[in-house]
Amino acid sequence: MAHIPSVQFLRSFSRKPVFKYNTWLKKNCFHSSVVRATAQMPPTGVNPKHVEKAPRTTKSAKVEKISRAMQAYINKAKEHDKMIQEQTAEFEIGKRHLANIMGQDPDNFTQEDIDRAIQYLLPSSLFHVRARPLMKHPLEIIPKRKVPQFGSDGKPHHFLFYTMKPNYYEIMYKAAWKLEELKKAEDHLHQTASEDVLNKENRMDLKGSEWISYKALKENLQEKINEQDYARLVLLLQRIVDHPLSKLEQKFIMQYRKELKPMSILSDIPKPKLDEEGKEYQVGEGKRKTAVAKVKLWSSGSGKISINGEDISYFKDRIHREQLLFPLQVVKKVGEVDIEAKVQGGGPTGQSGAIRLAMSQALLSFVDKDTQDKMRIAGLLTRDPRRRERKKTGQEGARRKYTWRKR
Amino acid sequence: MYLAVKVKSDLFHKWSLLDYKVLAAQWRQSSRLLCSITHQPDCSSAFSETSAVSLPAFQQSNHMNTLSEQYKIEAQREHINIRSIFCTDESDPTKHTMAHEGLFYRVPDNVFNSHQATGLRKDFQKMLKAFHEVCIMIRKPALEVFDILENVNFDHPPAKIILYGKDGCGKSITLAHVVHYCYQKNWLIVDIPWAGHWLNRQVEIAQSTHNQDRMNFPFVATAWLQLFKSRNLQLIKDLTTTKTYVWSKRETTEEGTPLQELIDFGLNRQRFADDCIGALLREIRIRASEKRIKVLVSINGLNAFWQNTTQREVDKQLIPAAKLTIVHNFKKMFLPTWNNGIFVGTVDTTANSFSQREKVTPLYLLGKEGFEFMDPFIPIEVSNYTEKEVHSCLEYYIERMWIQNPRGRSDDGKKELIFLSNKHPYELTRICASW
Repeated sequence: MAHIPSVQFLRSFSRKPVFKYNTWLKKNCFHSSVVRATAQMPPTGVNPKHVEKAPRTTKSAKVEKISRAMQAYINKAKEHDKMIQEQTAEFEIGKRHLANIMGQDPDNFTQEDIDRAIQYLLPSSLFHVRARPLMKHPLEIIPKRKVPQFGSDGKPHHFLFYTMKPNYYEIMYKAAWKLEELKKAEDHLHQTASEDVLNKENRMDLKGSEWISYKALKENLQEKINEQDYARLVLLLQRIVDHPLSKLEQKFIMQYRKELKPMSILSDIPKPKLDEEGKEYQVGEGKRKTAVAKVKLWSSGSGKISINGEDISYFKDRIHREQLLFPLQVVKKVGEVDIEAKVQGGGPTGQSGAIRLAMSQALLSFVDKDTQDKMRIAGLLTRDPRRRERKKTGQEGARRKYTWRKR
Repeated sequence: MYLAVKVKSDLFHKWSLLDYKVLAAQWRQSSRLLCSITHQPDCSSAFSETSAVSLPAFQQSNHMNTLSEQYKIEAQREHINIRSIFCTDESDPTKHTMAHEGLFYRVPDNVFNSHQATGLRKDFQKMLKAFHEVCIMIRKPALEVFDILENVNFDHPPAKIILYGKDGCGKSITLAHVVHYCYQKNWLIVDIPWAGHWLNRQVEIAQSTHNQDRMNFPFVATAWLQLFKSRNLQLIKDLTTTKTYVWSKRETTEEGTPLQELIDFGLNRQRFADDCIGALLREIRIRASEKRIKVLVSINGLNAFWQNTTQREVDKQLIPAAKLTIVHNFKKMFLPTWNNGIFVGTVDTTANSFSQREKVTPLYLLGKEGFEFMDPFIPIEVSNYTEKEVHSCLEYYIERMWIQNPRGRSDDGKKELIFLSNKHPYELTRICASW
């Protein structure tokens, strides 16, 4: 990726007709050096090869004038397009080679086939998926270029271009003015309307939504904003929200809020199944750390438990047995259900946690709505995302340091 | 009142938890009713009518003034009632039958201290201290052993019974129950409270004077002689030696010496204590064959006999237990050379070295050599509590305040305790201890 220049361009820019405007020389403009391109007199200080000859619109000596910065953009964009084309051609050939190596049809060789082939031919033990070798279309790998922020005359499109974060400051600007307007409106109401109008609930209701995250905002704006910027924006928007007439600006505010969706864990609970003996049962799957458990749970039983063929003494410590007890305690079915669990991987903590999750899932089919909610709130239906923390170099473990020694 | 009597009598015949609960609930209701009746002076006639059936003495003092007094008496009343559910009054193990299965019985303190206490684990004894009494549950393995003891032919060489099972399932306590049974029948008890203890201690060792290949544990031997003497002095009072034992040039035990003197000799001359045990056991075998006494040989942790001790020989090798004089002498008790005796013992993982504790079966624990030596024997498994036993045990713990948390005393709490402990006796005590 080293060949990608730090300033980014639009790939397709060169296809647009750009040379039609700006014959006027902008002498006083300090930020963009503008070149007079004439047939008689090539511009000084610029390599004439890099400056495309402007198309002549008239027979006269009237010429198109184009800013040097713009010219540089155009050239870079062309280079980029060329590079993409070459890369794409290389990719296509490489794909066919790969298909031949794998003994498959090169014409119908899909991206999935490529991935499989790469995994087979270049097996990698690197932990992170993104660190492993890959082969993809250049358009997927090489970052897209930004639309130029100014016209061919070198004049920025956006009035806040020189703030470096035009989109961000535009929102701030708008929000600040909206707040001022609200204040004005409030003053006006104080003077004209009766107290009742003011007392009426005109404040926004923020229930069921939350501010969009810093990450999401960054994505939307496509700008380098930091966390302080985000905090400032939220602060300003919150001021609008706190204003007694904030309902007037609801539409504006809601652009920066995300709606909270109701929990979908409890949406589609499968019905109990029947085994050969006609007993109702349900299956569940759970994971914790590196352990994976599959549980079969019979609703009407005598509290029989089998874990990998053993009874509950499979877990030697009480703390792990309590893990299995917890869901049964919540639904008040201790000693009433039969459980058959198969669990793999991990240690006793992971295994008991995995069985707990699987049991809870299976139990869902046998309890009423209120108990289901209770189980969700108790955290029985959520997978514990915690993992083992890696060991650090220069340390004895994840957190522990080596014993300090005075040389 | 009638109800209470009925509950009690019924229980001896048919023990059913469900029945008990229903009956106990009824009983509680009726007793409360009675209490309220006693408070109303105009209903005193009703009270006197009911009291005519059968009332303990404390209930007949019907002038109850304060509420706390009333509660006290009710608690006392319920206490007596509930105790009859899981406890039997029959403290003579020779009269225990299947009807008593799952019930606790009270062991007299003197029997416990002299015959049982040494072999039981420390935390169990601590628990008993908290209970202020010694109660042992009457369980099926013990009843099976009693059945064998009653039906076995004592003219044949001694039968061998081996109790086995997971750690903490109650092998030692079952053995203690059996010892109590034999004590009650006036048998001679040749008992090793915990054989593993002999091997795992760093004590003085000496070469045997009798046989150069064997090793003596003088301190262990004298300790055992002391124990034996304290237990069986009354029974061996009339027994004398059948042979002259020559210990050294100057020291001999003449034929016709009382066994008590033989023991005293061993206690005084530590050097010969190990060999003295051999002589004592030989005399016991002979006297038993003559039908003068019946003998129970009970060894807790029998498999230690085929293990290594923790002591080393001159060439740095661990001394095998078979090389010890006392082990050699005790092994003779299993030979078919005598009769009118019986052996009851346990095999236990904790008597084995740490590397050999994977299984609990006699074949694994005794090893090939030990198994072949003991063969034929009757294996009896001591397993986890049954449903009935675990409820009985929980009721007992509640009554003894071992379970104090109100949740632990509720029905839900009991279910949870059963779930967590998996009805394993030792784990149940530990889990209940924190409730």
